[in-house]
Amino acid sequence: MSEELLASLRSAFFRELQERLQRARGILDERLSPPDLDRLHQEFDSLYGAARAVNCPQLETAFRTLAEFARWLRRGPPGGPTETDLRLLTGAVDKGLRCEGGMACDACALGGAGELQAIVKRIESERRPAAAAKGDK
Amino acid sequence: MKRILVVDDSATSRLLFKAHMPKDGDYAVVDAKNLDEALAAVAEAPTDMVFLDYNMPDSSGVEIARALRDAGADAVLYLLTANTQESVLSEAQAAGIRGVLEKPITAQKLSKALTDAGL
Repeated sequence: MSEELLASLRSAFFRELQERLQRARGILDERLSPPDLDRLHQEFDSLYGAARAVNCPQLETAFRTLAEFARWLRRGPPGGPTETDLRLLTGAVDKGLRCEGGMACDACALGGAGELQAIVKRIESERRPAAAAKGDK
Repeated sequence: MKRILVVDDSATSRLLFKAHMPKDGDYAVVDAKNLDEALAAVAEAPTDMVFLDYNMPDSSGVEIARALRDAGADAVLYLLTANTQESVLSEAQAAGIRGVLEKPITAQKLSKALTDAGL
């Protein structure tokens, strides 16, 4: 892939990232109980695919985890999403909105040890094992 | 010139699709981000092939395939998806979708799909 094409793709991805995360924030701000997890899952899942398309592995992994988390919350768990679950999702969306775009992913503040990754790791370590135990993915 | 329509709600994915189209072929690529735009695109001009993302809000790629058929479109239909579960493939086949282009899209995969469709 040429550098020119990659730059165009990352520019398109940055716009899409902002649009989808703003929508995700709006869904969480609706304060529905539970929130519209179908729409939330859709936004994260589309961002997962788009991040993969622009070869941004950090965000690809992050949005895949968030999409799986939203899907798991939609199907269970008993009692619905907890306040902690919703805080994790809101925190992840807010961190994602800090993406400045246009830079290589390995130089991006969201990558590596970034705050978004910290939230994603927390979801994986504290919440996803519960999903795996249910046989969900 | 062969007219190709790609339907995907992701602007990034639509751009990537266009970038991977063969440069040496005689293709005109148009895009749509949802059912309404897809129906408008096939009504606008005869379309030879349509690539439909599977996972989209409001209407899935399979649902759009059915709507295109109902609207009289006779284009070759392909599904774009990373989900190749048997249930998805069966659903696609029942909707008249001829093949699946597995994501992530590459120029090689896209070229093969076009060739397989006789384009």
